[in-house]
Amino acid sequence: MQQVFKRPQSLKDVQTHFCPGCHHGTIHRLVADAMDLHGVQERTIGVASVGCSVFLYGYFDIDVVEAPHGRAPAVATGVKRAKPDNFVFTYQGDGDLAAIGTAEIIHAANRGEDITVIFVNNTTYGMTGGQMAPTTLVGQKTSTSPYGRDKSKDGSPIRMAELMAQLGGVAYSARVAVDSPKHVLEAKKVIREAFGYQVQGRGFSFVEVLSACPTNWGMNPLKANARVGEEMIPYFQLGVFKKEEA
Amino acid sequence: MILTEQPRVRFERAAELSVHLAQQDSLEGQLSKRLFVKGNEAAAMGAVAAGCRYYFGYPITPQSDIPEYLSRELPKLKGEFIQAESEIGAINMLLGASATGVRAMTSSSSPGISLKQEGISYMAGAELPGVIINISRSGPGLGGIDASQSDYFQAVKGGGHGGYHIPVLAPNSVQEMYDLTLHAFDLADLYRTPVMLLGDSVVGQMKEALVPNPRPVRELPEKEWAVRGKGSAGQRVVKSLFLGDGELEAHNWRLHAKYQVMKEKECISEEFETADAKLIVTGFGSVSRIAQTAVAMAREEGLKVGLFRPVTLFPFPEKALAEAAGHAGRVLVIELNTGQMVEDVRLSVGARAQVSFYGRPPGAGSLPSPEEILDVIRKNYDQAPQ
Amino acid sequence: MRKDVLIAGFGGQGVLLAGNLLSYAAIEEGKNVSYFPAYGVEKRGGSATCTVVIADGAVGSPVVGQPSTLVVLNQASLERFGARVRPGGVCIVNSSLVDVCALGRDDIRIIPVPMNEIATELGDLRMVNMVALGAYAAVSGAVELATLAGALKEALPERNHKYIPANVKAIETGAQVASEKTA
Repeated sequence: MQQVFKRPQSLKDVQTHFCPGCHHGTIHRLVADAMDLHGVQERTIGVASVGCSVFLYGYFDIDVVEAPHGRAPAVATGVKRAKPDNFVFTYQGDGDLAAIGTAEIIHAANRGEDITVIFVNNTTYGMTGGQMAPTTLVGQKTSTSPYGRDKSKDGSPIRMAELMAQLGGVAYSARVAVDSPKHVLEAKKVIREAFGYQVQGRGFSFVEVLSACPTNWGMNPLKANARVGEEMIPYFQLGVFKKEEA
Repeated sequence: MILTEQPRVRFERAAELSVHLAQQDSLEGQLSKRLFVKGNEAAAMGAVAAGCRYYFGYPITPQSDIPEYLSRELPKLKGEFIQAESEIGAINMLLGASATGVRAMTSSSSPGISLKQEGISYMAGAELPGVIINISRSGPGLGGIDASQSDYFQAVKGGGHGGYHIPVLAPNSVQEMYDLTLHAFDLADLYRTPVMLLGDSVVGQMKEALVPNPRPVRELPEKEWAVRGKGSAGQRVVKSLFLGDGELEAHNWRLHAKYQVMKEKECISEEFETADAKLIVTGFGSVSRIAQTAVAMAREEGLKVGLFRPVTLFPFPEKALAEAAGHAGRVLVIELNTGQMVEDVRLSVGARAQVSFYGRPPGAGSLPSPEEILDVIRKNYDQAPQ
Repeated sequence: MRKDVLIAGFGGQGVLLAGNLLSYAAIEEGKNVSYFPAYGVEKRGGSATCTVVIADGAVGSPVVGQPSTLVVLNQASLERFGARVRPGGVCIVNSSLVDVCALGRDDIRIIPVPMNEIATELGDLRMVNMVALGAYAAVSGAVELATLAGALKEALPERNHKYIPANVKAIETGAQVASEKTA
């Protein structure tokens, strides 16, 4: 019998702690797949952020440094500058990257640090219990926007992938989703490509992944998965926004 | 006046220390090697001599000589210099670099050090080495750039959250800016902890002779915890999050035990004319230099006054101070603030001596002169038990 | 031996260079030295000051409250620091620019040296600091004139080494004039 589906080598054989319907598991798998493809697992140093993604080291069989909230790109900068031959990526949520860590992500990107950033956007603070995030959609109710996000007071959701594409140091910036088999296959290709940029030493690469958070959205997994396509993708359009040619 | 006696340096564990503080002792036969540099430059040179090749910082007065020197020198040594987007960025770059096992540092001044506290707490929690030079200035808030010692509490009592301590070294000369920077890197590696060098614009901006001799490095443990890419070996994780049952409590007790070892083994202090003193003057860093001259002047007047200088502020040299104070019966604490180290002095001497305090908060526009300190000494001496 | 001096003037008179050169010379002679430039609010108002402490043993305080010698290159500095000179101390004054009558102290020795005139006669007013330093060395005996001359190559950037002979002359002339005044 032929084996057609197996766990990537970079992923540990453990049970997930993520909620039912959460997309972190899928995204972890795609990241592990890209590490395997490029054969970098043994020289990878992952940088974990604060949020649900902090348990990176519980899932990936790689060395990991845990960063303070929002600071993963600065920590990754220190790691990569000290060890330029290692493969270094951060894995950050939207509160971490697009609110408290805005300065760190902008400047690591602008310096063109040779790292890869996986940015998981689920429009909410997951671990702290569903508060309003910088990517929360206008009108979206959260535990700190009980009347819905008000554009006049809370501002508009930040489109990070497009913002990153404006910066000189960024070699690659894209947004993907994992809400359908088609999107998962596209995401796989994009993450592989982004990792390839670092493997070839071509500068900063950034992949935003739209993700569901059924628990904090107050939805069942199916409905949450559907919301990604119905509400998020129309605002956070999928695509590759920057791709520097060699 | 002439200082009649060389300061006597007291190490709790002298044989194992890599620093050698009495600069004059080491001059014989080395005169040709003496340089004339600023304290800030000496610290930067010490870092290079310690093998530090990674610097991350953000400009702030009065410490910019340090990044300026290292931005020039590190590229020549195939090192990395990054002017970060913020102090927060810089301390986290240090965290990342240190996690890989290399020697790395940052430097700043008081307002910038406040911003770094988050990272220092994380480094203390994750037990990461790293050197932080704080050429402190006056506050609170934006304050001014005058020499100040108002960040003693912040430095020694755990400036960030979580009840940690880091070793704090207080140089009082250009030579010590160099020597204690070397020592700081050793302590950092030995105890897996951030270490702070706490100075001010006096020790940072003044120029003195420097003998840039690297001291013998202490025997240091292998960094078996450093991330390196797991290869075929086991995974390594550098973290400060402990959610398992009892994990965090055990971690905190372990950190506590480490601080106890530091208190036993790493105290450094300096004494001058204390043997027969009826009054012990004590102060750290720049003010101790002023006090040293004041003490010499007092001796010329026939007053039996001595100087006790803590070189390590954490661990605080409690035992040595208690001993000196016990002989004298009275201690005068002098600080460039309204009273911080005096609390540790009181805890150290207990009932063995009366403790009085003379403070000069920042912003007065001038430092106390030896003559002013002498005046305070005279007043306190009259009240000392005879 | 422990000597301390406060050198004061306005920006551009080369006060800090004078302090540096003196320090280099002291180091050359195997002494300990602490050079401390003006800091904080003392730096305001276009003035330039520094203190230098030279000692055979420990330097002690880099902060000088009552200098045993004050070298003043302009009037404002005399007014600001004149009262601080230690009783029995010395005040070396650039008499080209400074009127010492206002000082009103008879407990210190005042040595007037027309530094501007001397420097100008030697070809460059900018050497006023060297004249002052020569005068200080002669009066205090803190360092040898020859050591000062030798230390110029340390204190001056290489591009200015061509001016060393002229500076040596300025140091020597300052020393000579000051010695005559004290003889």
